[in-house]
Amino acid sequence: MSARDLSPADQNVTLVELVDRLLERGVVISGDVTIAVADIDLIELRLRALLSAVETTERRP
Amino acid sequence: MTADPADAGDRGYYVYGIVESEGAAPEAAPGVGAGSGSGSDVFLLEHGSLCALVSEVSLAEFGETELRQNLERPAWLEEKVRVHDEVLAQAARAATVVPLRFGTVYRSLEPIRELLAREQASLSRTLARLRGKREWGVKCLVDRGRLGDWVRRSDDRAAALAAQAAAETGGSAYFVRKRLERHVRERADAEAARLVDRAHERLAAAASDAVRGTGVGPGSDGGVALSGSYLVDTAAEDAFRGALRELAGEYEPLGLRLELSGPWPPYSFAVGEERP
Repeated sequence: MSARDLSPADQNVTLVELVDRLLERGVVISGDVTIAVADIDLIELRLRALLSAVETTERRP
Repeated sequence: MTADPADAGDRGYYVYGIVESEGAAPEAAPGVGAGSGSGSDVFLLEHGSLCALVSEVSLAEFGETELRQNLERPAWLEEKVRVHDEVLAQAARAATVVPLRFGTVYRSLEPIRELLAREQASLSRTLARLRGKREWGVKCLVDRGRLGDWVRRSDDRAAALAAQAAAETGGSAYFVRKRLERHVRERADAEAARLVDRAHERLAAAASDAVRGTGVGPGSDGGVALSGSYLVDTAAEDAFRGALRELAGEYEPLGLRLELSGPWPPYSFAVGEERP
């Protein structure tokens, strides 16, 4: 199964995977604008909290 | 033609990744700035044997301060990371790509050319290492309730404690049941860790390179116990999938589910050379 044709619930998981890959990995070069590591940690933390909240809401009967 | 001076300071160039010039075809894909109506399509900026995948963006959206503020908006972040990924995924279908980290922006094109010139040797080495390979993600999700049931069925000590609990009455039966529960929990944790390590080893053996993410440990309820990334030669994909299918079949009755994602552009392996 491809990550590009998943159900909406799985899309959340994929978004976390995507953010993990795009913000934590990949070659870092010094652009005029780049994201600081501290910012990345904060973003991921927020996003995980947000997505788990969404998941909890969806699971509620 | 003279550039509009009022406009010049607002423009930035977002870089997605690097490809080889040879065979590189321009993509008619919208860039990360397109959704906000301020950016261009993706274009190729060539220098020598390498090309950067670039699109124009507005610094009102991607400037230092603005980017940091936008990153705090999940909907914005989601839209942009999906575009970034889609641009690289499309490029990766046609050529080998070295992905850059999200949010790399320049104020002009010249420093991007300089980058291609300066890093030519190392980028070419990385491209050679990634050629013909794709990244796959595998997550292992542990259902601790089901794994616990399996321990109860298969573990001698658990069976002995269960028999003892059935034979005892009242308070002592209660304490034996407590011991049984603790034993099952500990065995399940140990088994999950062992099975996940084994899955990673097996998948890594079928791949050219592998990294284990910092997933949540096996102790968490129904949590992700493995978040692995595997760089697999396209010629070896059948073997890799075969290994995954075998593991999935073997693990399913134990309450462990293996999930595949991908193919991804080789995000997790772009800096492989520098990894210790």
